Amino acid sequence: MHERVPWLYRVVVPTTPKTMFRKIIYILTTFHLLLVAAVILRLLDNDKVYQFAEKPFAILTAINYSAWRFAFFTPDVGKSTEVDILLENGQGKKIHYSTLEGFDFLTHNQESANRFYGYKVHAARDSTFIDLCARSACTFLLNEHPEMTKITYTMKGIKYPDLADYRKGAKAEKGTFYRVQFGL
Amino acid sequence: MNLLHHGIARFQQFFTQPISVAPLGIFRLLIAGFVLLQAALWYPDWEAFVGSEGWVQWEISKAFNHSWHVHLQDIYVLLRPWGINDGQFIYLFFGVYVVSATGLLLGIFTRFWAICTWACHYVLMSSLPTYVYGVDIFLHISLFYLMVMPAAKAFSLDAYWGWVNPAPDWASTLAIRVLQIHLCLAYFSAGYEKMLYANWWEGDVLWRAVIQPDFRQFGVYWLSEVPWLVMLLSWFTMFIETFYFIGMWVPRLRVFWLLAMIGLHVGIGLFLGLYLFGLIMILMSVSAFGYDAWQDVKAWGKQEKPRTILA
Repeated sequence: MHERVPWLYRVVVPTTPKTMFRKIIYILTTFHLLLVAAVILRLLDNDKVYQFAEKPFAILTAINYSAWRFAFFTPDVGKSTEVDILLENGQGKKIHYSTLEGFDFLTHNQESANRFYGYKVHAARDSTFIDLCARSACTFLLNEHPEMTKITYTMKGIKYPDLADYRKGAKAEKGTFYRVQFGL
Repeated sequence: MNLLHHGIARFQQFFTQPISVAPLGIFRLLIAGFVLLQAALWYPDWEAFVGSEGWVQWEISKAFNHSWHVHLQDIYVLLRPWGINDGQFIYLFFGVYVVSATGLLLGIFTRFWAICTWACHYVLMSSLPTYVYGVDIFLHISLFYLMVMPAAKAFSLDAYWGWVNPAPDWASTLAIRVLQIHLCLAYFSAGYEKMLYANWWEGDVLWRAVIQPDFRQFGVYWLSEVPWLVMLLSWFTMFIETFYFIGMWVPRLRVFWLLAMIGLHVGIGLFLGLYLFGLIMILMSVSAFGYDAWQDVKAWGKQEKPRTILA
C-alpha cells in the first residue's frame, strides 16, 4: 500500500508526534490557502456565507484577513466625500475648516491624513454612523477650540467627471447630504 | 500514472524541499521596520486617533465593531485599578507596540515579540475600524505570517546565538511558498477585477483617482490632454497585477516584473499620496520574490543559466 499510494498513506497515517505536527501544519496551510483563494477569487459568495457563518469569518478576518476580499480601486472611485465644519463663538469669531480647502483633520503628516479617507467613507455608510461620527468630531473640535460655542458639521458628496466629459467641459457635481449643528 | 507520481513529487518538492531561509529573515526585518516607521509617523497624532476623546470616541468606535473584538477600552478597564489614566494608557500601549516591533526586528525571542506585535496591531485595528485601509490589512496579514512562520531562522539574534536552528527545512520552505502564493492570489484578483470594469480600460478610474482631493498630490489636469497616457497606465496596472503570478515565477521575467511592481507602487505613493501603502506592497513583493530575483541577477552576471524556483 505504501508503494502504491505513498502520498495518501503519508497524509493519513501519523507515525510520530513530529509527523503528526507536520500533518496538522499541512492541513491548516491547505485550508488557509483554499480559503484565501475562494474568497479572493469570488468562489465563495460573501453575502451568502456571511448569512450563516458571519462570526467565523469575522474571527478569521480579525486573525489574518484570510476571509477578506480586496477592493483595490475596483469600485467606482469617481466620488469623494468632503467635510465642511464651521465653528462660531456668537460674537462674530468664526473658524472654517473644509477638506476641499486642504483641511487635513489637524493631522501632522500625509499618512495620518490618509486615514480620514476611510473615516469619511465609513461615516457616510448610513445615517447612524454619520450621526455618531459627526457628534464625536464636533466634540473633538469644540475641545480643541474651547472659546467656540456653536459648530456646524456638513458632509458633501462630489462626483467627478470622467475623462471624456471633462474634456467637453463637464464640472464636478456637488451635493450636501448631511448637516448637523450643535450649540453650547 | 508515472506522470501523476511525477507531478505529486514536484508538488511536494515545491512546498517542502529546503531552500534558503533568507526570504524569511528579509520579510521579518522589512515588516518590523515598517511597523516602527508607521508608528513614528503615527506618534504626533496618536492621541487624536486612539485617545478616548479622539476624533472617534471609544464608545463610538466600539459600537462600530463586533462586541467580541478586543478594544483599547477593554484593556484600559483592566489597568485602571493600577491608577493609570486613559491618556497614560494610550502611550503605554504605544510603547508596548514599539518595543514588540523592535524585538521582532532584532530577532530576539522572535516568536514572542511577533505574537505581541500582531496582538497590538489587532487591538489597534479593532479599536480604529473607521481608519483602517489597505496598508493596515496587508500589515496585519504580514504580522500574522511572522507570528506563525519560522521567521527567526535568518538575520536574527536568536539564530546568531544558536537559540534557533538556522538550517532550512520543510517548514521554512512552506512558509515562503504560502507568502508567495498569497501575494499571487491577491494581485491576480486585483488585476482581474479591474479588467471587469470598462472604466479601467478607458482610464477613467485612474483619472478620477488622481484628480479627487483625497488623493491629489499634483496638478494633473494636463492628463486630460493625453488620454492615451492615462489608458496606457491603466492597462499597465491591470497587466502587471493580473499576470504577477506568472511573471514572478518565470526566471527571465522575474526581475523585470519585480521592478515593474516597484514602479507601480512608487507611482501609487507619489501620485496618490499613499506612501505607506505603496511601501508595504513593495516590501511584501521584495520579501517573497526579491531573494530569487537577486539570485537571477547574480546568475546573469556569471553568464549562467538563471536559477528557477520551479526547477
